[in-house]
Amino acid sequence: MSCHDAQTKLSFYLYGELDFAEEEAVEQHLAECAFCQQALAREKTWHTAASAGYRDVPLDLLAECREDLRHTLRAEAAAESPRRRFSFDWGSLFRITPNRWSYQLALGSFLVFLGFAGGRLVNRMPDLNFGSGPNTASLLGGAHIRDIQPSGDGQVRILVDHVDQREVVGTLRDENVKRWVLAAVQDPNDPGIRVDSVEILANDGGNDVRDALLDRVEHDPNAAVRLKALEALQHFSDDPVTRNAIVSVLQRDSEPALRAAAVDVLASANGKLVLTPEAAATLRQLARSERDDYLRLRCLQILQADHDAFGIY
Amino acid sequence: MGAANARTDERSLIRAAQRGDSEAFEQLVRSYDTNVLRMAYNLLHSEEDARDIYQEAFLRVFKKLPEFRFDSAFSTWLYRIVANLCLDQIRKRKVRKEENPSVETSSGEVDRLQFVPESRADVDPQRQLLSNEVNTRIHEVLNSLSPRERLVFEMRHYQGMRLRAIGEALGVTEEAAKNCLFRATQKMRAALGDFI
Repeated sequence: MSCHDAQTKLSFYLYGELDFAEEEAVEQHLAECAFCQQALAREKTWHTAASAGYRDVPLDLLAECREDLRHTLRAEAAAESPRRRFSFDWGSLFRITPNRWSYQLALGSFLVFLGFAGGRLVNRMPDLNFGSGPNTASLLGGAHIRDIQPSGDGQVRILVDHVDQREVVGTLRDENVKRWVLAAVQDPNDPGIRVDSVEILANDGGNDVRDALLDRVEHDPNAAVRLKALEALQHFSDDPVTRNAIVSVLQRDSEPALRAAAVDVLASANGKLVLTPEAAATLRQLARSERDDYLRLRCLQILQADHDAFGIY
Repeated sequence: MGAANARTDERSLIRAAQRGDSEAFEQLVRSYDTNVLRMAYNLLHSEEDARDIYQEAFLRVFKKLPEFRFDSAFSTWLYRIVANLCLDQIRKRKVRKEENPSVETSSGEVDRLQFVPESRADVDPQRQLLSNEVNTRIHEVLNSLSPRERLVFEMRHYQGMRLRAIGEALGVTEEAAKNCLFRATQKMRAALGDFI
């Protein structure tokens, strides 16, 4: 490989966008060519300089955008007829065309079965409070059909949530309320409930709250829940157990946005930049080895802001 | 936390949102909206424009989601929408030639250089001056790139997206995206050559 060839590939080399053979060839050339090593150093310098001017989004802008979108979607949903909410074109099933007899036969069987299964369901679930009005919601009473799917053997599978509702109201100082919120934070079915519960717990302290948040950060399958729990852990950023868990997030979590948030929590205490030697070491390691450009930049920015840590770096 | 789990989780969120579950849709938005807003904000240098792109992009996702058939990754589909909106906006600006040295913020117009990270008081003034010049030059180069080069550079350098995903999002081949990035990095290298 000539110096010209190697130098045209340096940016792609830094971005990790060369295929295996090209990368090998570039590395082999770099190992033998001092001139191209200097060119690589210059390339790294402008990459870093370009990254340093990157601006993060003001937090209030993000919050405002989310709020605006929520209003817009509510208006959209209200304007939209309920029928359009379904992605499935029910009408197409009833449109009879000569070559669709098999569909019609299947539909007929399906509807007969649906009536049969519905009747069975009513018999088995007398407390569903099926009314006589035309509205589906009133027919179902306190029940909610979560999912309905025909299966291959002509059967239909209906997943019904039957909710026994009651209201629990109080502050987190009320142990009963707190117990409910701590249970809700682990709701296996609804990430929205988990996010809301984490938001509520974020205003509270105590080891039980910390443990619940740490559990979500480490084990929740939903990235949004993990992120929210991580943000809530800001209050506990002085705590060694929390800091260990955050380092573990930095090492293991697959979401770059989450790792970026973990960096911010790790580098702060009571809303101020506080970089312990251990945290500085973790950030330095990330600044060297992290593949995500933004995260590397964020580590460098924090280290730069902390004069002592930057001096060591 | 495996990537496969995350994909399954996202798939079930999309399906729930397609059935009209507004909370699932909100979760989906929150998984991506920080990156979308960051990209629009840095490409367009305007809070107002970034806000418009955010609204328009997610409104389109909301309206078109029932038609989404998992032919591509959701992120690719979303970034295709965002990229097209940003490209349109950049092209409009090129026509209006309205790029100026200040940036619109909620508290009025602010000099673009104020967004350059603050330098420490004890830093060598000569070095600080050089750093400011480098930043100014970077902004000049970014503004001189073609809309597509600008977008590809943004997606690769700042968003960390792979060239293949960028190509899919822009509706071009990976090779075409690579060529775009090559031109952008060449211009950047040439412009910053005096400083480094």
